[in-house]
Amino acid sequence: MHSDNSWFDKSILRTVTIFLISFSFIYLDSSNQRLFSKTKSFINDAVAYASYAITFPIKKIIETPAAVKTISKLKDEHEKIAILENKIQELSLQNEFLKKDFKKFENFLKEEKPFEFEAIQAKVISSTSNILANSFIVNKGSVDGVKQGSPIVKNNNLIGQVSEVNHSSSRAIFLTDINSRVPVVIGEQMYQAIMVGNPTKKNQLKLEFLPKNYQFQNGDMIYTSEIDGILKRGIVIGSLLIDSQEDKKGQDNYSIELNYGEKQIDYVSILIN
Amino acid sequence: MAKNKKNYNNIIAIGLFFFSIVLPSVVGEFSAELHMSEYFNLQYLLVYFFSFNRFKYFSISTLFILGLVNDSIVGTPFGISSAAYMLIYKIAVYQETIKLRTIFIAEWIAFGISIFITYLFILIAFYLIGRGFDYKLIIFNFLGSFFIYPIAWMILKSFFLKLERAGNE
Repeated sequence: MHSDNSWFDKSILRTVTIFLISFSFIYLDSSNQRLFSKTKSFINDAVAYASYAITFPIKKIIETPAAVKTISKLKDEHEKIAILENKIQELSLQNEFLKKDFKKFENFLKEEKPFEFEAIQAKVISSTSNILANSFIVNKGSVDGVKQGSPIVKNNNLIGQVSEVNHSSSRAIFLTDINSRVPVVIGEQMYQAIMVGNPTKKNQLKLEFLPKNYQFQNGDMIYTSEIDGILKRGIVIGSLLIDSQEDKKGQDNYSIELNYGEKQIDYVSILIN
Repeated sequence: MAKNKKNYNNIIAIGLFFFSIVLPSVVGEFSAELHMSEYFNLQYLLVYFFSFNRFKYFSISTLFILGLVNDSIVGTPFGISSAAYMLIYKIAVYQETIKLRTIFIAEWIAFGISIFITYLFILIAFYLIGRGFDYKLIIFNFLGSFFIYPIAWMILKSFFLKLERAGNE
């Protein structure tokens, strides 16, 4: 196990040099130097795709039993859906009223156009969570039109925001990340606040800059509020749960329930325009 | 002519360390609730163990590059992990050279001191660059890493001793 170090490995000069390089990297990264950012963007791309390629076989091996289960489950569900479809058909044929009602509903769906944003589909190539960061990497970057701050949605629910854009990949932080800040509108009263990630809070989220004398109701919906044209207004985030047990002094009596938490994510949509 | 004995310990050690860097992304894909890295820092533990036991390839330059890879995957500022690994490496190597008795407690305490200094460095660096952190999580992580070291030490020692024996046979 023991290995003899070479003279250069032992030298103080080498150690000091590498430490200095590390510190200068930290400084350059935090001060957003353009040249360093470009170099970092290429390194990030290379590392993201390399780590994806390396971990791909491991993930596939682990995934296999679950995939087999899912296939059998899907088969059952498909059969159930087929039975339900038959029933619907029978009912609609038998009852004219139901048919008319169905037509009305169909028209409503046509008229009701939800928020339409230009979005691109992206694959999550890596997702990490530790005490310093809670983020994931997607396979779309500046060449695809991704910008810093672009919202990331899954099933029409906001799950995070792009924090770093590389050439052909991007890093996004989850809403629960300690550095996450999202302007939100809450409930029917349309209270404005900033939702921040807080690892020590229940559900890892809290609201800041709330107006004085706010009064929440159980189930109040939380939506995004527009900011600089990057974050769109009206994207659903989650709802408020009022906890009457936590009415102690200095403690918030609510918790934020995300509609789409940090479940396993494979594909996401990035709103780019 | 002496038979060339193959010893894969060093390659496995560096492979294990690299795997610990990409492990959270593998785990994260299957379980969003299981955040092992919140309870203890496996990488610090491995860096200390392999550096203290003087495994080949665990040099300051290798750790610098692996640190950059970790920063790129995790999303922490470039250079933070490199500096942290190198700090642990330097303390471990220093402890290894000055140790008078090979007792585990001394190694354990030295490990505690080295990761304490490393966490302190990270806190100061994050504070200076204005990046958010939760000190409670860092304290829990420090304690978790410290108390899990004896278990990890036993597993790693027995694993690498078996490998060494198998390589010598």
